Amino acid sequence: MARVFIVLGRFWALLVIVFLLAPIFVTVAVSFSPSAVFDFPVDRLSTRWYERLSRQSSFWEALGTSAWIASVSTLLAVALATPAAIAIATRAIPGARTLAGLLTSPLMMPGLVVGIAFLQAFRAVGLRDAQTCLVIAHVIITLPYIVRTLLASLHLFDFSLIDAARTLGSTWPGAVAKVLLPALFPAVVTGSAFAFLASFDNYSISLFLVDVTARTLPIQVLNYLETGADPTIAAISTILLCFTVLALLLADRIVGVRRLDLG
Amino acid sequence: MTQATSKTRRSFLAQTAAGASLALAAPALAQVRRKELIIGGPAGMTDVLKEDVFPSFERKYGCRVLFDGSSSLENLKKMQAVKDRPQFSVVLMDDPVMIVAQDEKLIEKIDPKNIPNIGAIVQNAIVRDGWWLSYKWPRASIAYNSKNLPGGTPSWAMLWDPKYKGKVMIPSVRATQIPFILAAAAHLETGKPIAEAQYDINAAFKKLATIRSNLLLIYNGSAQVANLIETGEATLGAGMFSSYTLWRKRAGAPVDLGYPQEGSFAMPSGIAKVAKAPEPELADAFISETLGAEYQKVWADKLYDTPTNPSVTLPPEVAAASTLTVIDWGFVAQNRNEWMSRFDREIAI
Amino acid sequence: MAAAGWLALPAAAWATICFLLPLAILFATSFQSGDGAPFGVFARIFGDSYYRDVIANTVVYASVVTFACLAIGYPFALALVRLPGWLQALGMIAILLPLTASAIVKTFGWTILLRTTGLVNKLLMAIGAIDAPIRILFTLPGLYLGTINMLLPFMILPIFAVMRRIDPTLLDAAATLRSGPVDRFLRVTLPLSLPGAFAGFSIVFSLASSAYVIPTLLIGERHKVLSKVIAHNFLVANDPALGAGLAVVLLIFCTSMIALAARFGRARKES
Repeated sequence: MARVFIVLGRFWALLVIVFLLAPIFVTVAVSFSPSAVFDFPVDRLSTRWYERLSRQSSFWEALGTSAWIASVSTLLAVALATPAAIAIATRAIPGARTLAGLLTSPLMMPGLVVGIAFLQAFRAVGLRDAQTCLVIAHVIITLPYIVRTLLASLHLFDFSLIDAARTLGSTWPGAVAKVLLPALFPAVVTGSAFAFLASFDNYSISLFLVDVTARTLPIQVLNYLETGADPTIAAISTILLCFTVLALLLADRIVGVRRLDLG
Repeated sequence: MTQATSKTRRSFLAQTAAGASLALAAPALAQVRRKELIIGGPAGMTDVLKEDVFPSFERKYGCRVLFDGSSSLENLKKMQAVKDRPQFSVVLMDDPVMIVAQDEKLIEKIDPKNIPNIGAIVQNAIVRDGWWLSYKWPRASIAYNSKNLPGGTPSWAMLWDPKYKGKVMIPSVRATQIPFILAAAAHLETGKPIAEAQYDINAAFKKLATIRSNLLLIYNGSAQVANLIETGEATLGAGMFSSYTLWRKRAGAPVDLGYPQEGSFAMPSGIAKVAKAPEPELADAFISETLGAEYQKVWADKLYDTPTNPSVTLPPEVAAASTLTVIDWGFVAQNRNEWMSRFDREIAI
Repeated sequence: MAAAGWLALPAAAWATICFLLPLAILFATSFQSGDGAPFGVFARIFGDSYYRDVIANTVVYASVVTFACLAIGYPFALALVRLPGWLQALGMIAILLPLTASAIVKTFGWTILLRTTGLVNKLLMAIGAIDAPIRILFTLPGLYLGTINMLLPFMILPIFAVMRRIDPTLLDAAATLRSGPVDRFLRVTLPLSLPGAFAGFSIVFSLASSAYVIPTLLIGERHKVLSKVIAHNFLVANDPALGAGLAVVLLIFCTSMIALAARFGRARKES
C-alpha cells in the first residue's frame, strides 16, 4: 500500500517537474537558434544572440540595477518583516491580523495602480531619484512574500520553547535569538528567495519609476521587444538561469542544500 | 534634483536612508548640473536615436542627450507627476497622447522663430497651429508572413476573408492604430473614400463585428504580433507599421508590410517642447534638427518611416507607398471613450 | 511577551507611510474627480452587466488557478519531501528556475508550445485525445495552463517549507500506533502542513486576481479581468474614479477570500 503511494508520488513529481520546466526548456533552446525568429525547434546551434547580447551594454546595466535593487529591497524587507512576523504570531500587538493583512495586501493590488500611486506620492514629496523610489516600492512588494512564509513557519513553532529557555535564565531577546531565529532561518531563506525574484521580475510598478538614470531588467527586456522580438531575450534569460543554477550549487557547497532547507 | 548618472553605492545608501525617513522633509540635496537634454519617447526608437542622432547632435551643440524610452501613456503619467518641474525637455509621443498633454498644458506651443527648419516640412505636419509637429510618419497597414502569402496584402478586405479564419490579429482599442482599422472597415462597408469613411463609426463597428470569427488575437504590443506572423501561427497583423515590421524583415524574419489598394495610414509621430522645459534653447534646437534633411534621412533609411521633409530621397520601401491617410485625431479624441466602451462590449468578447 | 509589540513598528510604519498613504491619496483624489460620491461609482459598477461580467471573470480565473495550483502543488510537495537527495535537488531547481525567467519570456515559450503545430497539440494527438490540432493559443485553456505554470512555484515553496519541518518522529510515532499511510497523512501531515498551504493559497490567489501581464500576453483583449479594466481607466480612459472603485472591489474580494481560507485553515487545525 505505502509502496503504491511512493511510486505514484514520484510519477507525479516527474510530471510536475517537466511541466514547470517546459517554457524554460524552450527559452534555452531558442537562445541558441541561428534564426532571427523566436522559434522552436532549432535545427542548428549558434551563439549569435549571445554575441549580440555582449554588445548591448544597456542589458548589462539593467541587470546590475535589477540585482542591486532586488538585493537592497530584499535585505530591507527581511529586516522589517522578521520582527513584525514574530510580533504578529505571538499576538503581541492588538490588531495582529489587520497588520498581517496590511503587510500582505500589496500583492492584491494590480501593479499598475500601485505604480501610479507611488509615482504621484513620491513626486508630491519631491522624491525623484529613480533608484531610491524603486527600492522603497520594491520593499513594499517584497514584504508580502516574506511575511507569508514566516507566518506559516511560525505556526509550527512551539513557543513554550522560549519560555523554557527563559526559565533557564535567558532574557527574552536572548531566548528569541537562541531558539526562535535558528528555527525561522529556513523560512527567511525561502521568503528572501521569493522576494528577490519577485523584485527582479517586477514590471508593472517599476514601469512608472524607472528613468534615464536607472532602468531595471524587465523594463529593458520590454523596451528591447519594441525594437524586435528576436532570441536576444532568450539569451539574457538563459544567462540568468545559469546564474541561478550556480547560486544553488554554491549554496549546496557551502551549507548543503538539504541542510539549508531551501524549500 | 536631476541626478548625475554616476553614483556610488554609498551615496545611494545614504539616499535610501533619506528615503526611509521618507523624504518628507524633501532634502534639498546639492546637485551638480551638466548641460543635459533629457528626451522622453517611444522605446522602439532607442537604438536609432542613440546610434544615428544623438552623437552628432551632442557634438554640434556641446551637450549630452539622455533618452527615456517607454510608451506614450507612461511618459504622459511621468510628465503629469512632475508638471511644475519637468524632467524632459522634449517629448516624442503619438497624437492621441499629445492632445491630452496639450489640454493639461504639459507641452507648450512651438515658436516657429526658434525652429529654423519648420519651413522645410509639409504643411499638415504642423499640428494644431504648431502645438506639436509630425517629425515623421511611420506607414501603417497590414503585416503578413511573406512565406505563406507571397502575393502580399492587396486589400484590407483580406482581414474578413474566411480563408484566414483564426489567422488575423487586430490592435486593441487602446492602441494608437485602432482608427486605421475602423476607417478601413467603414470604407469597406460603405464604399466611401477612406478619408471620409473615418467619420462613419456605426458602419465601422457593423463591419468590424463580422471580423470576430477570423480573430486570433486582439493585440497590445507589436512584438507578440510579429512573432506570431514570423512563426506562421498567424497570417495577417492589421495596424502594424513600418519602423517595426520592416526592421524585422531586414533582420531576416519572413515578414513584410503590405500595400493595400485602399491605402496605408500615417502613424502620428509627434515631437513637442515640454512646458517649462529645462534647457529650452537646446530643446528648440533638437526639435528643429529632427526636421532637417540629415535626421529626416535617418527616419527614412533606418526606420523606413515617411519623412515629413519632402527634400529627402526615399529608399524603395518608403517610396513604394502612395500617399498616406492622415487620420483626424481631434475627432478620435472626442469620441475615443465611447469607441472604447463600444469595442470592449461588441468586438472584444 | 507583550513586550514584543514594538517589533512590528518599523514594518507597520513603512507599510503605512509608503503604501497605504500613497494608495489612499490616489483613491481619494480619484473619487473626488468622479461625479458624486464614491457610492455613485459602485452603483455604476454593479448596475452594469459588463462590469459584473468582469468581476465574475476575475473570480473564476483567480479561483480556478489557485485551486488548480493547490491540487497540483500539494501532492507534489508531499512527494518531494520523500524523494531521495538528488531527485529532491532536481525538484528544487524545477521550482526555482522558472522564477528566474521573466513572465514575458516564458509567455513566448508558451506561445510556441501551445500553437497549432506545437508540442502540446502533438502530445494530445499522440495519446489520441484529439484527431486534428486544436486551437489552444489565446483561449481559456491556454490562459489557465500558462498561468498555473507561472504561479505554481509560489504554491509549492511555502507548502514544501512547512512540510520539511514536520517532525519525522511524529510520523514514526503514528506508524508504531499501526495507523496506515492514509491515516497518518490525515492525522499528522495534513493538519500540520495547513499553514503552508494557506500561505501558498493567499500568495497565488493575490497574484492571480491582480495579474495583468500574464493574461494580457496569454489571451489578449478578449478576456477581461479587473486588473486590465482598472489599468484602462487609470491610463487610457482617464476615469480614475471608476478605476479606483474597481480597485476597491478587487481588494475587498481578495481579502475576503483569503480571510475565508484562513478561517477554514483554523477550523481544520482545531478539529
